[in-house]
Formats: sequence, structure tokens, C-alpha cells
Amino acid sequence: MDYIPPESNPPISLWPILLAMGLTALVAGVVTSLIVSLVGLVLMLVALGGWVQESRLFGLAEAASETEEEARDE
Amino acid sequence: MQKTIALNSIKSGQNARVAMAAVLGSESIFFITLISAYFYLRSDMSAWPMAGASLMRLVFPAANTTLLLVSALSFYLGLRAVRKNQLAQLKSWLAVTLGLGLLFIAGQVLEFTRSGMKISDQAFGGVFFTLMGFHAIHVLAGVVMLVILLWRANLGDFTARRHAAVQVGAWFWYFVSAVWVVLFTALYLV
Repeated sequence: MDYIPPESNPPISLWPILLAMGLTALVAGVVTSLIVSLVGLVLMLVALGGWVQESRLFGLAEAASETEEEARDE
Repeated sequence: MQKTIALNSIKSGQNARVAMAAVLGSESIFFITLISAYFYLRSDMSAWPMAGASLMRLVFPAANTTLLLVSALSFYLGLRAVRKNQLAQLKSWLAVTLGLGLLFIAGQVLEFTRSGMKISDQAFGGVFFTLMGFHAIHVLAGVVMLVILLWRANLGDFTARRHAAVQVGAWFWYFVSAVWVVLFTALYLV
């Protein structure tokens, strides 16, 4: 039977929700106040940076585990 | 051993590819709906401002279209470079794509202003700005994505085996380029 690797899902994260909230505030500010838009923009940038950094670390850990698996197979 | 490695290569980034395919599928429906609304509104009007636009009027949007198509080519060259593990070339091509994307957005802003129309100008103004505006937002999202890819490329995150982010980024960029060709044809040529 073929080898089936274990499922590899990213960790549970709050960054996507914060990004969505930031984007919502950014757009809501257009019809309310500039301050709301600015808060939304800052939240969006922070959430985007956090999310990318988190997914980078996940990717690097996944790569390290793949290298270990390959070494074991050899 | 070979089989294990092959399956693992498929695993890493498979989630990203499925997610991007879902995004592009839903975006396609979104743009098809907008373009259908455009043709519906247009069929109801006796005169349409852009119909039979002069060649001179088309020079600027055509040049902007060329910029976006060239940027899709440069993204493809970047993807080809990372597949060959040529990471310096990947960074160069991503930077070129980013520059062309920014030039395209600047061109679209200029096109908004030189069109002499307002979003409140009856059906045409509304649909013209909605179509071009939503597309420009997508290009802007692509530009943000390119900045992230360039940042990650500088950190050495991508290799010939691990570059799913670059691949799905390229899919998105090809998509926005293809959508623009359809919009350009619908708005300026037909």
C-alpha cells in the first residue's frame, strides 16, 4: 500500500479574524470617520504581518520535519 | 523512499493551492456578475460614451494593459527561476513585477481622472468605476502579496522544492491580468 503522509494543517490562529476586522474598519471609516479607517489600516497591517510570520514558522517547521523523514527513509 | 519524498512534496503547499483555486473560482463568479451587469445596463442605453472610442483615446489604456501583461510574464519568469533554484533571479523578477504592478495602478488612477467622469454619472459612470475600481483593488491586493513574497524571498524561505506561495501568487497575478484583458475589451473595444 502507498505511504500516506499525515495531515499537515496550519495552527489555529487569530490573525485572519483580526485581518478581517481591520479591513472592515478600514472600509467602514469611509462612511463614518477617518480615525476608524486609520485604526482599521493599522490593525490590518499588524494582522497581515503576524499571519505571514506565523505561516512562515509553520512552513519552516514542516520543511524540517520533511528533512527528518527523508533522513529516516534513507 | 522516492515515493515518500514525492508524496511529501505534494503535501507541502497542497492546502495553499486548493485555497487559491477556491478564491479564483469565487472571484471569477464575482467578475462575471459585474460584467453581465455592465452589458445589461449598456443594452438599455441608446448611446454609450466609450463606444467607438478614437485610436488616440485608446493609446493610454492599451499601454497600461501592456504593462500588466508584461508583469504577468515577469512573474512567470520568477516562478521558472525558483523552480531551477535561481533565487537571485526570483527576487529580481518579483521586483520587476512589483514595479510594473505599481505603474499599472498609477496608470489606472490617471485614467480615472482623465476620463472626466464621476461615479454618479448615470449608469455608465457607475459601472465604469465599479468594474475598474474592483479590478484595481485586486491588483493592489496582488501588490501587497508581491511585497510579502519579496520579503520572504529575501529571508530565504523559497527553494526549488518549497515555493507554493510563489506559485499561488503567480496564479492570482495571471488571473488579475486575464480579467483586465476582458475588462479592457468590454469597456473600450466592444
